Amino acid sequence: MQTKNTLEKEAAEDVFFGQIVIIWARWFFIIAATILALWSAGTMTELTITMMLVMALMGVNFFIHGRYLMEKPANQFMLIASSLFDVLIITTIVATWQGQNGAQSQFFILYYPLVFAFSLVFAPKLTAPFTLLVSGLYVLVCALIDPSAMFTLKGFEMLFMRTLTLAAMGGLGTFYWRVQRDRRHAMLGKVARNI
Amino acid sequence: MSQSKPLSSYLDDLAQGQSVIVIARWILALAGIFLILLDPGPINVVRFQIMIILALAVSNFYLSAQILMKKRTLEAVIYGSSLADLGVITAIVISQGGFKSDTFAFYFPAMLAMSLAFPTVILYLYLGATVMTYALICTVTMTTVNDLQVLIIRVLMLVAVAVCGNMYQRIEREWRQTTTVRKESSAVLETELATQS
Repeated sequence: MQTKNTLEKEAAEDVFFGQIVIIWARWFFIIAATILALWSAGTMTELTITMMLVMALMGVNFFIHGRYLMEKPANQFMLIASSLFDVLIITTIVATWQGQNGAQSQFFILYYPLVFAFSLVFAPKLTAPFTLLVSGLYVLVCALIDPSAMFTLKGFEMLFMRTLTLAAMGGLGTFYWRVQRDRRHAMLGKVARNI
Repeated sequence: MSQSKPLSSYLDDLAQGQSVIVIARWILALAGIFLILLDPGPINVVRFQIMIILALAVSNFYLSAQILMKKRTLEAVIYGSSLADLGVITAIVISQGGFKSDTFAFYFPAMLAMSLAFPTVILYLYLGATVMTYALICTVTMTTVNDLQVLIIRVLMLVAVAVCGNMYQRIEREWRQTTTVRKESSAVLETELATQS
């Protein structure tokens, strides 16, 4: 039987060692955002605004990555807050990007690495609501922007495929997280027996 | 932090990660059947698609049975079946018009599963092959310059998923190795101290 302290220690270890995965997922997102900003901006104002947003993201990630390198990693609250901030930015891109927003937007895939990294670091009780939140938010944005698209066969098919694969990112990550947790326990048990 | 990594450690990772690959493949098979029946094309195409999906499901049933019986599957079978997954997704993408096909989204769970199970070199070989094949298909079927932007983002996110999964797998392996060494050496130290006192 596991004590509450053991579970808390394991969760803290997950955040301590695993956060580099979230940090790298965010670096990839930042590269993608930079490409989008540089490619799509039509005027100097647009370029300035989008690049300021990218710089803000880079600043946050530099701060978190720097702390990690100094072995003073961010805590659980900071990681969750920064992940939610990422979700907000991606949702804004999906909702407002010029010419292709809502279900027409191809940038829903920006959610994938983020949800996957989150599921590897946090326990299922946090990953499940996070994955549901992201999927729900995406469906909501698509529904608000073009409700009629939801009720066509093609629209439903497309949305089904996207939300299913998005949920699979969280679900498979959580499954592996559990596998690894069992492996850790089995290994510690084995070492204890050998000693 | 380069420590020697025994072959058994990689085989263990592959065996443990195999369950993720199997689940990802069940998702692909079930979603595939559902989507084919939801919006069926010409009967001959549907027949062909269902045959492929059923072949995938049967091979996956074999792999699931191996896991349930706690038997180790041959490495070549695991690598071969994963290659088949990528082949099936690519075939569907091509049949749906390449770049405009939404089925590319299934590359993500497939690559996720591989990143958690495969050794680094093999993972990146699979990733490289997938990215190059998909980029080639899209380059031929793209219509506007903006499509190139979308393609770059798709490829970048696929790489991100593979890198993150592989990184996590290596963190876990390192954790297991260092913890074992630490626990064993502290036990030896305690025994020596007890003997001395």
